[in-house]
Amino acid sequence: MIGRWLAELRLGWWMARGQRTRMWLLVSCIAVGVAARVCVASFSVEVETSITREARSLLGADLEIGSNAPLDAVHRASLVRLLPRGATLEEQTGLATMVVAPFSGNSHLVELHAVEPNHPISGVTVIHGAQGQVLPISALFQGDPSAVMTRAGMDLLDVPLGGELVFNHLKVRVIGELDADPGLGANVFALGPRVLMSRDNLARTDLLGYGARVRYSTLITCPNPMQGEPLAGMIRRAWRIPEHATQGFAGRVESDNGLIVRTAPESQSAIANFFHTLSDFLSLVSLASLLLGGVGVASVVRAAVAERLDSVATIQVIGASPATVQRLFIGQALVLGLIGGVAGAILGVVAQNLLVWLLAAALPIHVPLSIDPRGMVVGVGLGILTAGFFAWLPVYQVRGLTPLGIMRGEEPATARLASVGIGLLGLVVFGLIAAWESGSWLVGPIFVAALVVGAVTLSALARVILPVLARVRVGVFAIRHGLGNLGRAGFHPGSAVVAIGLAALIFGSTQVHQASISHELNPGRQGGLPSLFCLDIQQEQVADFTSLIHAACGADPLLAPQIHGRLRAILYADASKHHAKPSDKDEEYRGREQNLSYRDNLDAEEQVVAGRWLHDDPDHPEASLERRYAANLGVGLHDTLRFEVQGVMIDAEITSLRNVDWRGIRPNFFILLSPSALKDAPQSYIASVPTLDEATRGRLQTVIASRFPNVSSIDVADVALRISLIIDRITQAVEVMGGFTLAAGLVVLLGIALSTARERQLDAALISVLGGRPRTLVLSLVTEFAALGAVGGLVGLGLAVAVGYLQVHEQLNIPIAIPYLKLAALWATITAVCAIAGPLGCRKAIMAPPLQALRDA
Amino acid sequence: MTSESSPAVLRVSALSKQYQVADTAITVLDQVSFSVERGESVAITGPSGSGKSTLLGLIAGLDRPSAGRVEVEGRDLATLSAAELAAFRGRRMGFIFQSYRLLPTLTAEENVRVPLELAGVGDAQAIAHQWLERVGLGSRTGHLPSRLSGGEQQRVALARALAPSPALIFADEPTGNLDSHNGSHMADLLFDLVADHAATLVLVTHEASLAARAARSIVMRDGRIVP
Repeated sequence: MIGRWLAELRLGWWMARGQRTRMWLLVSCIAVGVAARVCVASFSVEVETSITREARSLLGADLEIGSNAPLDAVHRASLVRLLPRGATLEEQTGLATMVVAPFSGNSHLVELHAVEPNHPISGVTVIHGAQGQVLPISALFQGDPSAVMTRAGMDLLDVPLGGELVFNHLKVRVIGELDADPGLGANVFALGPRVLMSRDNLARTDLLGYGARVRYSTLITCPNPMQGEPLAGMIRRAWRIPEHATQGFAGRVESDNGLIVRTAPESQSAIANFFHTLSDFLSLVSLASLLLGGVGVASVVRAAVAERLDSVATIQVIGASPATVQRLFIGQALVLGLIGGVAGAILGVVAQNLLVWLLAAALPIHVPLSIDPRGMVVGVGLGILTAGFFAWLPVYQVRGLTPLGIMRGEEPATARLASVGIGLLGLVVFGLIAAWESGSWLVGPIFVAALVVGAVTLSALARVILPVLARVRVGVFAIRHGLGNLGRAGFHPGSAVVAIGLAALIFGSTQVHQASISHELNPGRQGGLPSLFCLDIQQEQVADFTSLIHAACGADPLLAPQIHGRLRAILYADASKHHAKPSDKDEEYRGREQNLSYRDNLDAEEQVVAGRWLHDDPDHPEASLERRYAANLGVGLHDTLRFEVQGVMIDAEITSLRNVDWRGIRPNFFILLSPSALKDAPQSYIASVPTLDEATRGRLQTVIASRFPNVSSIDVADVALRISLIIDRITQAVEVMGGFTLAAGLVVLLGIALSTARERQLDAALISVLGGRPRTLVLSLVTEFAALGAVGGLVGLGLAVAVGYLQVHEQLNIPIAIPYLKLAALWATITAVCAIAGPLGCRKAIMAPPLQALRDA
Repeated sequence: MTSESSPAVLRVSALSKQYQVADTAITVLDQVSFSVERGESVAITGPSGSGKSTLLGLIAGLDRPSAGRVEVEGRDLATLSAAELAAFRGRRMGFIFQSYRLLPTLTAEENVRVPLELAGVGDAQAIAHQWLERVGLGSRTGHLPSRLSGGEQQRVALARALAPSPALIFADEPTGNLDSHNGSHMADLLFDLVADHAATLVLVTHEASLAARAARSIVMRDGRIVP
């Protein structure tokens, strides 16, 4: 048996001689896809590893105890008893607050961290003074009130080193530039630049009063980082803080005292999840490259089989069974898939650098170039699987031919049943792979199915469009000849259209996404975004605040009451749900304050989609939830939510679900309660300020910060711009992956050019004999391949718009914005690249001496 | 399924073959029956289009008949699966074609090795070398077919056909593409080697001189044997 296999391998190798170009093409088909996959896999593993490795320095501790109030004496004493010997403690206070730079008149929201002299107890804080000298943290605790700030913050506020900032009424001197601090840059998106000051000085700002959104952190570093996890467990048990959401007597319950205990890895879960999700998506795009490469493999193998049919007949005559013939070709494909996989894996490791560079702004830590052996092995394995699978169908179709049938010139019949069977098997296999890559049994297979639908649609449209183009009669022979090739038997132009079209689809839909999101975030769009969102306006400030805004804008701000509450339990209408296991989603809501509000009427930007609007009955509070929020929370009509508001429990039955147009100017809430439930609760107000130009907005923000220091105002345009920048970066990363799919499409195109080399050689010979010049054939080729690129690109981009519409409309609930210019440029680029690559791929054929071609014909 | 013991190594019974061309059925062979005894040499002759090559292809198991039966060494070819038929061909039959049909990317030696290796013969390389020596190509074993003359290529094909020591040799116009000198030399080699190995030879040719060297001739016309 082994001897037989070796003999077959040897025969396959012998038969592959003289097909070097075809072999390189097959290798390239696989290499591109594997490179994309390994690039993403290596990047993902290294980011996750780096975040986990750096979690301690990102958090600045092994453990964090978070709360909305300082630890009381009881908990503090308990903590001291639980700490291992040698553990270090640091207390921090943090809040987002407005700061004014008196010199420039600028103001901005900043993330203020009040620290202790032993900061940081883990990780590194680097502060540079005015002369470039390194300042110790103790500098914050000496002399007049001082602070350090990031360079970005100083630029925003236009305050130099040594300049002054005002926090409420406290003047603070900026004594240093904060270049490094645990967790600096750890959030993909931060509300404002980071400022450090001493806790004493923070107390002097009087910003910690009633209504302030303050977070108190107790950071703990253990002598051995491995002690963090068990210590967290001990604290949770001692303080009765559930590690995960658990079922109470009637629903999900969080800790009684609002305390959260997180280990360093847990604290980075948000950013880790963000990159994990991004990587999952990029993995799917890389899988698309691999599948496109598979289309190329099928094309190359089909051409190889067609060219070798004579040899197939001969070896069948001398003793090779149909199964042996299949094994020969598939074996070749597997070996070449292995070579392509290895080459792609190496290329992928190099390409990872590009991905890291693109996403550097969003990465909280330095991600070194690394080699992920497991990712490379998996990539090579996928390459081999793809090569073998896609080689199967063109080889399978030969098995029905007898040797004499081949010698008589019979062509392999399309084995429809086999094609469908192999196709379905492929859908299952690659659907499973996609599910594994995406980490979702739903998303992955849907993605593969969408690709298949796209391919089928492209193929069907190609069957309609290409024959029409082939019959176009133009005066110039070369162009007519080129278009005529689009309908020529054996040229398989449909494969090229499918490959180019799929690549254009993936690339184009990314552009549509980005354009739609950017349009939505554009302050100048019709309907406009509000200029500012102002938070924590106290009841007694409402009148003055309204007057101020009216004076600045000529219109009143749109105000909405806001009450902080904790979701304590869910009482399901269906009692059987009370025994369901807590889900991952429960973690998102546990310990998080919910922003509640109340209103009498529906707003213009919302509509009730289930149930009925709130009835205000003091004895029977009701709740109205935003539809998607309710779905995320896993609740529906007639379920009851139990909230704790300042120690008062409120049970509110869900009586309606709403669709909210979040693009509106008015503040809105996921959870609205009937007015009687909350109108007497301690509350602050959120206001949105109508659209203003940048200068007026900046001045208004400064005035607000001066007159109402407790009010945080968020410059919506600034936030929108920063979100746009991050989305741009992410889009660029997706475009890199999309580039791989375009490369795969081009390889397929080259494969098709190569597979028709003999026919093109004959064309060149005949044209030459009939008096045509070389440029006639070149123009013919340019026409043919430009048409393929144009049709594939146009249809693919059309599908991209359709897919983009579905995604932005259904998933993001925003209108589509079609970047016509960008798509047109993309279409033109695809057409031009095809017009160049195709003829280049045929150059050997068209440069061959005519006599040889005519003799071989 | 085997018939009763008989010296006939090849038995053809009422063999017919039709092809469908558009809506028309074209009969290429019509009720052909004959037998060939072990060690015999038979020439199938006839004008062009008489069905000679089709008949050869069918009795060699290279195609499926529309009707009738072919028994080789007592085995009905129709009862064999495609894999069994291929294996049977590789071990018990040798083929020589007018157009040589060498694998173009394999050297002379590799071409001769292929049927041996497919049949699982252990020392295929040595046997291939010996056979190439016997046909006078001992110094050309490493040459690709494109580097061999027509006569040399046909000698490689002869070596390839005989190397597995088959019971039957099928030759379809073996000298058709050769000049008279090479053709004559090739014919001598073919009949000598077949005789040396006591193989049965079934030969299709339109050359009278070549047909005359066979022990018996079967004349075909319009798909039938001329009695």
